Amino acid sequence: MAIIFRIQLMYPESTILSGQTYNEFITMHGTIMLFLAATPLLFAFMNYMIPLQIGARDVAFPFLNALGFWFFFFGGLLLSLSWFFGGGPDAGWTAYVPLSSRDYAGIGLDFYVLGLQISGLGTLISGINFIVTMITMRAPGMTMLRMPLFCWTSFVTSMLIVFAFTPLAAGLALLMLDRMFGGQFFIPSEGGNVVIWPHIFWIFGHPEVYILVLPAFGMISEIIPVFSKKRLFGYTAMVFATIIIGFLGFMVWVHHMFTLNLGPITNSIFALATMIIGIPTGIKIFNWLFTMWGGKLWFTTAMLCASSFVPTFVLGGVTGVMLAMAPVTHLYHDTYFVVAHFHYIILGGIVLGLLGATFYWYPKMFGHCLNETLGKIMFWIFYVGFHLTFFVQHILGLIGMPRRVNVYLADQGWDGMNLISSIGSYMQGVAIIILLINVVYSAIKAPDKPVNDPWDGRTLEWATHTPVPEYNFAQTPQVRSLDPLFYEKVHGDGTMKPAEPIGDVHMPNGSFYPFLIALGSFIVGFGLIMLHMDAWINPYIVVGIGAVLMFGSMAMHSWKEDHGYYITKENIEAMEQEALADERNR
Amino acid sequence: MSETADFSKGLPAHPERATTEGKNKFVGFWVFLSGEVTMFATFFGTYLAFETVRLQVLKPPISSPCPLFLL
Repeated sequence: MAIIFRIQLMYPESTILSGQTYNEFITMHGTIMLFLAATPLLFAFMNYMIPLQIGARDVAFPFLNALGFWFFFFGGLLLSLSWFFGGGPDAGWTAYVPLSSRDYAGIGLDFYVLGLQISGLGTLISGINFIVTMITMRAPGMTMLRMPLFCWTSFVTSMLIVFAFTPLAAGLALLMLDRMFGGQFFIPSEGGNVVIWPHIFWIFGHPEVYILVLPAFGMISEIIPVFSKKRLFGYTAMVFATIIIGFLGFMVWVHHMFTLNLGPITNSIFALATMIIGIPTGIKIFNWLFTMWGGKLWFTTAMLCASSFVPTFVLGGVTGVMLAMAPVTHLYHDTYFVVAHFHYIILGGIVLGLLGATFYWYPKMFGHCLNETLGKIMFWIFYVGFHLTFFVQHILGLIGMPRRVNVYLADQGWDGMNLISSIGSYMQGVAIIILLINVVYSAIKAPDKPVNDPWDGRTLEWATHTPVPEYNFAQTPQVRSLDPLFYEKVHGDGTMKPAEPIGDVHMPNGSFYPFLIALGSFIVGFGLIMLHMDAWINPYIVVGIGAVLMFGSMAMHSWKEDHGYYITKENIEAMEQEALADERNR
Repeated sequence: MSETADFSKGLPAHPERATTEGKNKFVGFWVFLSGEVTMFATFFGTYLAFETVRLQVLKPPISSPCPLFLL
């Protein structure tokens, strides 16, 4: 979608997309990228890596883990179905009222409201699950201040999810009542108030930025020490900076609403709070630089992504501080300067973190490394393309190009920079295609024997076998330090010492109920949307079927005793010996 | 995953937290409740915002100008 609307904006007076289609594209682009792309990609890494990094056998609630995934899946499916039932939502990803009211927005907004409600429930469930996992299931000796930084950032992210997605759920419920059942919360002509929605949305929306960027910070904090051959500089400061960023993230939402004229005192307080976030973020930036300083740098693709993340994110942060100045924001607001700013944070921050983490953890997940030559080609095309796309958008914004316009005139002086921006976006598209080619090529060329610890890792995920056994660790490891595996490599024999005798391992059973519960919620959501469609069946029957499926599955799950199963000690010993023999032969 | 609790010597002081599974449920429920508190705080906060606006519109002298929820 991004490529298509960059094609539209490549030349003035382009007619590829109509204004309505363009609005639908930008709304779905923002919504999908934040809720259905960045969040699940980060959650996938959290799900895989947190148990391994803390020495646990699984997350705390495996059933809820599956339930969270299926809620997310069916929420995303419901949102995407809007294309086939009258068009996508068209009020921007922020869905400001009255644009998102029934008078102005079509049925696509109903898909937006219910799709996000269901997928948000999945995200919330996963957040609770991760918090509990990290509080109760850490290996012996792994105190909170010995947790890897990726776990810490995931922990704070999960807290943000619990406290940010719940206001969104409340706001979406009110918007749903307005749109579907004649509510008046946000309808000024009937006594409602349009300013409350942006407050609720941004109380969620600003922490959402940190929900996405903090795990990326964690990934960078894992990659840089490994490829600098040094421990992370200022670990404790990094932890507290993460907590402070998470806390302050809730104190700054009004900076998205400076032009709503909320008063000079309000604007000043929130401007100040926004600038203060620069302090803990600066601590992180300097700590990454000091980690690399004097280190034995090894520029793999992962390290290229991680080290280039630092200046890119600084640029995004600096424009963030510029936008925090309330009077000046009246000039920048709703221009391409804002678009450039948040893409430097999201693409230059989160996507570079995700790309780095993909190359770093790929061998642990799939047993072979991605091809480094293709990886470096991909990185440079992506990095140059990214800056071509978004750097010029700062200037476009400063000379007055507004965001969310599908067409501009030839004599406005925006042609050249829009052309450069579009060419940059195609380069990014090419880079992602090269990444996909790399995945296939590396799988074909993969060695017969999986690689175990190709980067000389420091944390616990590199201490277990590759491929990772279903029980993660045959014996829970005893942690003696921060960077526990590296500590054993220096002070021990390079292997983790067990904290328990080998024994039977309890495992959860698989279950269909998470799928059925989420499917039920999807049918309920679709039934509610049908209230405003010319449906051949009474929508309340559909809602009823979905509710019976959802609550029936919940009841069945609650009544059914499921104690899981055990992998016996003998089986574990046999599997471990086989894995060790395999590793010796590599 | 959870271990099996050994209650052969009698129940511990907090049997619901005697196993990892029990601890997980205990902590998880508190985290869930904190999320619920935030959600209902949003509902109550929205109501208070409506009331603030209503008072400002109906009886302006009662409150000082508070532009937080007014356009």
